[in-house]
Amino acid sequence: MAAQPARILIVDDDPIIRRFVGSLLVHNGYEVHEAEDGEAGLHAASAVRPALILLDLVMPYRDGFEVINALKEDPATGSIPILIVSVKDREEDVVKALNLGADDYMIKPFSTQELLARIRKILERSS
Amino acid sequence: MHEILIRLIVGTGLLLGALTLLIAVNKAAREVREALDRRRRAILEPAVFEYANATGHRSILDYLPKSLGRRDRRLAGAILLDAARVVRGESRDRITAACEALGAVRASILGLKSRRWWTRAEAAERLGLMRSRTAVEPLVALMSDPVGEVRIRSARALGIIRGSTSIRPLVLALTDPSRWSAIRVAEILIDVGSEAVGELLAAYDSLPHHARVSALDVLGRIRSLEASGLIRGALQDPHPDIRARAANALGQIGDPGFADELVRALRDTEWPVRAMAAKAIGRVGAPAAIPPLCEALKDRQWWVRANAAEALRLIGPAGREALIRMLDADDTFARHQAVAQLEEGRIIDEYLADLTSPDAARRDAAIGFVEKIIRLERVDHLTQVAIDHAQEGVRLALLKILQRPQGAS
Amino acid sequence: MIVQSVLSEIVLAFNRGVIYYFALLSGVYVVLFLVSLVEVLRFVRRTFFSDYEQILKSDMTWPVSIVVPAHNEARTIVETVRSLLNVNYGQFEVIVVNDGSSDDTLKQLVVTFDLKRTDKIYRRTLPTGPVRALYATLELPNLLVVDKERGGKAEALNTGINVSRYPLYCSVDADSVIEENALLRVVKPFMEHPDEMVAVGGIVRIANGCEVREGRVTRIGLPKKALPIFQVVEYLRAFLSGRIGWSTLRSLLIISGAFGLYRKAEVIAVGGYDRWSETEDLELVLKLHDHLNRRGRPYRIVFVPDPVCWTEVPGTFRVLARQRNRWHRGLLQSLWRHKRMILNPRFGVIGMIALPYFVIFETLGPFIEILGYLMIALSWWLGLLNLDFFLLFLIFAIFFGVFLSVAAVLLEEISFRRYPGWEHLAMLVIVGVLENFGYRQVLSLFKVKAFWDFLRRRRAWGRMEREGFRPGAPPAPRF
Repeated sequence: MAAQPARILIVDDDPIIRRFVGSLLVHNGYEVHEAEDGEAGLHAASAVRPALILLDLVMPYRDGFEVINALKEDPATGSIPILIVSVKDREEDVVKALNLGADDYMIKPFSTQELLARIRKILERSS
Repeated sequence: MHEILIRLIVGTGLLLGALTLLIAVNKAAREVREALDRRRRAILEPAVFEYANATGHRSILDYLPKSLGRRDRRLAGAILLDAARVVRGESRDRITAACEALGAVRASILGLKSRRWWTRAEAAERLGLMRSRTAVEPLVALMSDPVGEVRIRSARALGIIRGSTSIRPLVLALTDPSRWSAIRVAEILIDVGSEAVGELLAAYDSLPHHARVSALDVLGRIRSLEASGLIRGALQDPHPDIRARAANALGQIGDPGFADELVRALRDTEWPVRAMAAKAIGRVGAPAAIPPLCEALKDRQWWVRANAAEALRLIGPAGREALIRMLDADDTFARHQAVAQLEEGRIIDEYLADLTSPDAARRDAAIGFVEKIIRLERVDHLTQVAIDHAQEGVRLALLKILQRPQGAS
Repeated sequence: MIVQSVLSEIVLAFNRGVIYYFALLSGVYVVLFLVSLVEVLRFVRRTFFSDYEQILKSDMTWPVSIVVPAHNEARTIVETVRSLLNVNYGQFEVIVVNDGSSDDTLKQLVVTFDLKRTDKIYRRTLPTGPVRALYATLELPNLLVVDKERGGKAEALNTGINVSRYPLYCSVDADSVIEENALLRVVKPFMEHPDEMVAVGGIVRIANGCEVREGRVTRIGLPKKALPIFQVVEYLRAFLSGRIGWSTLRSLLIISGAFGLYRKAEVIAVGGYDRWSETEDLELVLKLHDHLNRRGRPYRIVFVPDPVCWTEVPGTFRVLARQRNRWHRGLLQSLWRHKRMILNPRFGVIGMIALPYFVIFETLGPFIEILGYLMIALSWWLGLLNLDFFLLFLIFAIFFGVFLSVAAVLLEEISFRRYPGWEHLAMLVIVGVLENFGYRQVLSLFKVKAFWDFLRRRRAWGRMEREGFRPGAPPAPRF
């Protein structure tokens, strides 16, 4: 049933990622919102209430871990699933992110088909 | 005199004017160029991204506007490379195909022959991102370029593209006169992985000293069992640097069979070798190594002691008990290193839980443990736990011990 | 009559001397500028695609201990430490040394980061005053706070060195705002020449007029007040045209205390920082040159033409005067202490070129300049003044000064372009002209006074009052 397209929020300080992934998602039927750092991401999350947040870890002012914490602490955004997309590939980082509340983790560079599949999976689970 | 001065003044005045003009023109030109590029990019980028994210066999030329000037082609190439940095898999292959279709690969291969070194370096870097196999041969040729930056970017590009003929030149590049370049080549080889092992083993003996050191590091990081024979041999090398790296590499490979040799290396005359041996033993996990590790806790060098303590912790329960025994050692630094490791590994906290154990023997053991630490005057952590610990029973018991006057048992 | 003619002779001879002196100095400046120009161009080309990502990820990158001496920095210390903990680097530790602050600097740190007392033991390699306690937490294993009694910046740095673990340490002023990739930039020379490199400095930029958020510069702008703008141009000249040139000529004498990366072993070998020095960072570098030249092995102390940190400069005349007074006195102290290096071929380029430069031009220069003005007045009174010549000379001197300043702005424009707007560029060029009409002369006056104070051995350690976004007390950075 073609209801409203699902809203996805991309939080990443790299404009290429935002535009590239944005283009990918739009062409696959999603509605895309962007934020360029942690602060903006938190504002956007509570304003837009996306169905899913794609979050980078390495960002200035507030890194991704802090953002996960803040998102989970706020009841308005606590239930929004989070998919981390980051260059950080160390075990400790993945575990830390998942423990803090992220739902999934992808390492950059990523495969676009894989990204789409994981997004679909998360959205199915949460609907 | 006047003449000279007047001429100097006029000269300086002109230079000044020229400089200011230069700055202004340079800035203006750059801004115009950037504005134009931005506008063009706003049109081309969505098309390029759409192509990259799509599936199917349509060429990129289908997605882009029909009449593509040279500037547009270059811009499209740049956008493709921007995307290439963030994706892998099918999209990446599509980007490679697009670069070939646009003629960007050909243009960059031509750029490899430029007389200006930074053009060559840039071209090499771009070819790496484009990942086209056709670039392998010209890149291999560039590995003997006179300029270091060019060599290293060619090496990096080869490491990414990974044709079968590119490994040998990369291994040879470990001998690059620039130390930093050699390090980067090592990283590239590590990324290549097990494909590189054969060439590394074959070339090792003919490599000069610092290249051998890098080769050992690479083999260790690749965790190649195939190379263990060579690395064990290197443990006996006359040069301490090589012995140290060999020890480190054995630790990274992690085969418990290395334990004996590593224990012997723990007694090396040079401290970097001892430090690396201690670290490696921790990774390899050999209970037989516990007594020599305890000896190493008394080493003069901090790194050796720290690595030895960590190794003891990593070995398992037997190692932890050894650490606790070392709390009574006669060497100050050994004692403190033992406590530090127990604190950092949070082992102390686990033992403290025993303070409320129903088993009297365990309770006594825990109390004795706490007393030992108090005698070592490392009470700060304990004091903190006495306040923070989740279980009230533990807090009370700990406080009681802490408040006892010194000397009472 | 005889007196008058003798006087005339003296004045004429002096005037001629000044002209030669000025010619020589101009020559030196032009050479330095050209050398810097070449080096900046090369550097910009080389780092077009930066290697910094590789350095970041590499296992072989040397770990660094960041040492931050702090005295009464309660307002900003947490922000600073946070931004340091988030610096873009692999393995590093942050050591804050609380130098007996009278405000709640320590408390802020302990409370914010949930630190606990710890009994880490360490070797007191360098002598320092009493250390009260160390604080750390298992959650942030690379943060360590040392609380000690007041002993001054030099001692605080030495304490930080004692406690540090890694072979390299980086001294950072508590009120500097560090660029994200700063550590990567200054460690690169160590990666390229691991055996020889001993110390590396970078470009210090002026933070007045910039927006700073959570320890990062978010928007770059020129200061609003006049005095700091003059200093912006001065710093551009000093760093871009000056230090880069000296560094390329292997004679770098000054690494800013606001940010510098050093090899710990060598610093310990020369005894660390000295309490008696007004400019302990300058003294350290001189000591290093002294020691390393005598040891005879090749070594390098370089400057990366890359901006690494932002710092606030004095906004009022009085504070500026005190700062420059201290800098110059410190320079004189160190020159005096190491006088046997001057014109001593044993000390290579440093002894034969850099130090004599500092003596002849930096030390004597202000005197000659002030004396020059007096002589002009005297010449006029004696009727010796050739007005045409004098005017021409004056015009030439001003043009030359403006040329140097504009050249520095050009260097900035072709390389780093940190000041993006046209209005910035225009302002910098204008100020580059104006500074020759008073600012530079005033700086020379400061130096003359400083010389006098040095002779009288005044030990005033003025407190610099701070305004704008960073109130606090520690001494200003120097170049």
